[in-house]
Amino acid sequence: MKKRKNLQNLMYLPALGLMIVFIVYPLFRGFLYSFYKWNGYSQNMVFVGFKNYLDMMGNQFFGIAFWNTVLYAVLGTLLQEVLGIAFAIFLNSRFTGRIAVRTVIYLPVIISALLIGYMMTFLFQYHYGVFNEILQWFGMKPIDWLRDPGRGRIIISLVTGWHYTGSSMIIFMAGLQNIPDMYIEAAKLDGATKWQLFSRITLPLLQPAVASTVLLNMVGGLKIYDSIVSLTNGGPVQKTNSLSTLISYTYFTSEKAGYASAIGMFQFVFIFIISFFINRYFAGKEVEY
Amino acid sequence: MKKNMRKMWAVLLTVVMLGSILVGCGNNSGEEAPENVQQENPEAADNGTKEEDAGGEVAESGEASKTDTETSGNISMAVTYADSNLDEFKNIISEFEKESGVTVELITPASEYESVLKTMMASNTLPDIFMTHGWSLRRYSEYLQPVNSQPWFGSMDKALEPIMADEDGNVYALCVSTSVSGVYFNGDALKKAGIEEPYSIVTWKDFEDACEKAKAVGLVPIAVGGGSGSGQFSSIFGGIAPTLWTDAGAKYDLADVLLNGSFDSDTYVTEMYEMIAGWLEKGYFNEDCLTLDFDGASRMLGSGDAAFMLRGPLTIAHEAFPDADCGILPELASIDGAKPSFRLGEGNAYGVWKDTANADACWALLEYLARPENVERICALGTDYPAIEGVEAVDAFGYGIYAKAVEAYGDNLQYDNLFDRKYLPSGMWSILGDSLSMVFESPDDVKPAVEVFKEGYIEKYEESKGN
Repeated sequence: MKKRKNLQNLMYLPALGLMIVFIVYPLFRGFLYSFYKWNGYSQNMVFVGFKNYLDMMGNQFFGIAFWNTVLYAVLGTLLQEVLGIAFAIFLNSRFTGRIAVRTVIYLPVIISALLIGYMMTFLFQYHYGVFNEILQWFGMKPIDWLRDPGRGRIIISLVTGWHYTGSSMIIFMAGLQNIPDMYIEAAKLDGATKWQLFSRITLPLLQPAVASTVLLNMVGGLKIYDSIVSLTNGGPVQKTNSLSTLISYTYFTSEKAGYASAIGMFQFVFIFIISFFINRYFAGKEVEY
Repeated sequence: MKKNMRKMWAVLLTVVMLGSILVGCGNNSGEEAPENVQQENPEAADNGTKEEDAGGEVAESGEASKTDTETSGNISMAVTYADSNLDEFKNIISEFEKESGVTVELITPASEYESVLKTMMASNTLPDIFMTHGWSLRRYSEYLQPVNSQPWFGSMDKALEPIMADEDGNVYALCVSTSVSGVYFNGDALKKAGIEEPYSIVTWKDFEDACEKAKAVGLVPIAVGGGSGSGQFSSIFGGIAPTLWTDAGAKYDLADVLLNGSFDSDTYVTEMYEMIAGWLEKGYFNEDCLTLDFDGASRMLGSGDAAFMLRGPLTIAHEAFPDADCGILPELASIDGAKPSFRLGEGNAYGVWKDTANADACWALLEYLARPENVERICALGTDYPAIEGVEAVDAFGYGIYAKAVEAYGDNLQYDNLFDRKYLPSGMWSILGDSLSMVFESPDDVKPAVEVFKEGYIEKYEESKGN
């Protein structure tokens, strides 16, 4: 028995090895670099202690990127949760073409975020963009949609939310399958309205699915990178940057690898804390009837 | 009834979701996209640009050089070329391989070249040969072997030595072409605006007059592709600033104060930014200057919708509109009587890694590339002109337009190195772009933009002094 357990434990080793090589070790090195002034490619590094962290706290571009990241995560998650549940409920009943509709809604998920962003620029670009062409058909002036940082942030959030709605939908559909029909039927017999069915039966019993999707969507939103690169490249004037795009810009363009590592460490701790509180919040929310 | 409603919603949902994917899939620019081309940039390849991922292969990081060169006659080479330029360069390499018996593995990260090279540098696992794209001295010299002892060294353009040589006179790359920065124009657009002779534009005042004329006939006077990253603005800064501060006969003589760290940003940067803000307020720039990418701005110039561009190269414009009468002017003089200037930099330059295990094969390849017939072919890949004496790459588009400008201006020209390389502390490039882009965003108040420049200049200057 013990021998069998030891053998089973050995099965973890490859996965553990990969995690150590590709996650733990780079994280450790990044943590070390955050205490150095380094341009990212020289063989020489200068130890500066906590200077990178102090500089980060006082930097306007960091502040902008931080609040942008929070916005992208919250707005994107909200959109994915609402649309995901709506689509899941809609597709939970049988009708002709249900599988096709489900596939089409899920399709964006399998396309890379970078490509999605490039595709979306054809909608929003000033010259020959789809939306501006429509405006001009109606005799209106074209709008530079991504010129205004506020508008750009909303567009990024909407695109990201739309992109990953399909994956939330699938998780919610699985959750809906686990709700026994007898609860719904019993509630209907008691005269419950559609809204009451949803709010008192379906949603409470979907809490595990909601917990999973909120966690995944929030973490994904807090790490957002590809769609920003392709839509706005962090502009105008670095005002739509997320923490991830700021890290990339700081490391490769500004050649401040140590400072970028400090931002990376901050992002890691921030996501860890958010994940902890999300898990804690939803831990007590599970319902059983 | 309910089933029909559900079906209707299902169909609508499908159409909307499919439509939102498919509508973004077409090219809505109204033009046939040319093959993606390398953007040969003498100042720096713009990181995070979103013009294109030009189909280059991601470098096989860290694996190529040492293992491969321990076997016979194999070397690795990283190049910035992509698509049609890469195809032509591969032909050159293939001919070298046939002649020498050396096998060359090309690494082609395309638009990610700089990031990939930096990663390789950090791990000290560089390819045997790599392109230095303007940074052979300031960035890559600690990883490269000096080339002074090579037989072709004497035939490299001496004008490049101030840019490429260190304090001991060591040069670290074979530079076969010189990159030229200036103001780019579309001659057909200027004719439409009533300017028959573009080379009559000598000062920024002449330039503003030309912009007014272009605007009057419905053209965009100056096309800017700010959507491709702050590097676009860094280039504009680097083109205008020296005409005000460091060129011979310029409005101010600030070369020394720039170099000794006492430069008064509040006065001089404010003045320059207010000049550019004035252009913005007069409507000289395209409305989407902050969101249009460089590709779009180039096409605007090439198609004749715009008269000028303050940043090159002209590769995309020329490939998309080969019949367009595009050309280059020098950076214009700030006052009457001063000479306009061309800014020179490394063009196509190749260095040998200091730790290569197959130096002989590397030098053989560089010797092959330095041959006049190959210098001509390499110059034709972009808009550069030859940096090897005795080679007159007349087939190269870039050489042609530069030669025309030099002939037109005659003695009324001066030359200098790239501004940020010579006069600013290292690491200022992104700060120039971040700062100037703030002016484009908020031309009413340039003070925050000046502050960004000032803080960055002081910080970088202190760093350069080891403080």
